[in-house]
Amino acid sequence: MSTNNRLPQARRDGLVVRDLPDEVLVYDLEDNKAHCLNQTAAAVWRHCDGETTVSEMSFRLAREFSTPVDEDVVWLALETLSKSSLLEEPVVRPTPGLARRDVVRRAGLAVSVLAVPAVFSVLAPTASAAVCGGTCGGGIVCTGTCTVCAPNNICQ
Amino acid sequence: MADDVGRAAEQVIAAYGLRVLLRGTDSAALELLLDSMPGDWRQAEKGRGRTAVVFSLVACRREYKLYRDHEELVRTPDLALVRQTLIGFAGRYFGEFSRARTFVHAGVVALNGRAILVAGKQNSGKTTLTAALVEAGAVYLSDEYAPIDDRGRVHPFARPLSFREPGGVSTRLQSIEALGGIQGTRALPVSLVVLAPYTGARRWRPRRLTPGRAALELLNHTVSAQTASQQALERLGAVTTSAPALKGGRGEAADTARLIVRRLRRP
Repeated sequence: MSTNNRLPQARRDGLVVRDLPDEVLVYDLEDNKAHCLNQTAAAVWRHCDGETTVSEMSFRLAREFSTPVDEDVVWLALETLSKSSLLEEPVVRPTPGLARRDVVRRAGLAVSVLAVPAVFSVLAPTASAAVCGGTCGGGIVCTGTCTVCAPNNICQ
Repeated sequence: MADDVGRAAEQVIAAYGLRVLLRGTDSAALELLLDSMPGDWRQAEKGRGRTAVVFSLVACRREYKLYRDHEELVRTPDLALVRQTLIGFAGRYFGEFSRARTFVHAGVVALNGRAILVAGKQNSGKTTLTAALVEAGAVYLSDEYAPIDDRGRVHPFARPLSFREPGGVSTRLQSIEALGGIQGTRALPVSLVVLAPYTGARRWRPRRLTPGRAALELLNHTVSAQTASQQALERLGAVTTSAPALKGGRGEAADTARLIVRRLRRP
């Protein structure tokens, strides 16, 4: 459960969400991080409505994906979502669970229809960083497209 | 300062939802600015909307001064450097402030009526791979930016190709026609996204990214990622749900370009 024993609740404020067929893209306006939730993580996040227990989530996911879903998989997803600040409050598992690699091994996920829950994240670049990447020597101030490196290593 | 341009010669242009005022000390200076403006723009009437930015060119004695609003961008006797500076700053400006398009820092070519995006940062070999694809028969759309619309189509962003000279200090500009290529003019759907930085690999063995992971990769090269994130996610998602994305270090550009063309020509 969460640190206050509340049921998991997905964060919505300050987030831009874009659904893709099997994934979800989330942009966090508070820290300019962008996340890609894979199918499993996205499904768990969708069920984080503040009213659904972990046990109920695993039951619903099993029905959705027509495959057994261990509660360890749901906990792994919740911990991953929590680390990415996508839940209202961080989750703390009441009892120690399996490590990620053990979840994979135990669930036989290599042949399962359900992937290991994962959230991939990047820090969105500033306009300069998107173009220049800061590769023109040290002490860079990129003001254009870095087509010319001045002798003082300022991108021109 | 830019005020010494006075009102000698002016022209408003409209591009990507923005209005830009170009000013020169004389008609020749204005002509240089117009000739150097990158991207898809058209002449517009003054007084029909707010001007977002002013680029001014002051030609005096043996030197040129280029300004953005009141900020001096470059002071030089070298016309090629003036052009290059304007191309760079104008392109960046469109990328950062346009809301009509989302600008991804990428080379773009077209094959069989569909676009190939070659995304990458400076010094990743993006321009070299773009040129190699043109030499392999693709149509050139851009080597710097891929302006993407709400339908996930890529629009042309024409400018001379910019190659880094050995030593990395300066660049040279070369027209696409000089490379034997032709310039595209229409917006196109995307057939392939390529992330292939030069690593010296013997052979290009890319892995295919999921649409979501591909969108994150493109976001990493999106000029307005922080300032227009909602639009960026929508448009990048439209691209990556309709086109595969391949990522992996490559060797020689010509070899990689051949592999890409062969893949896209497969039935």
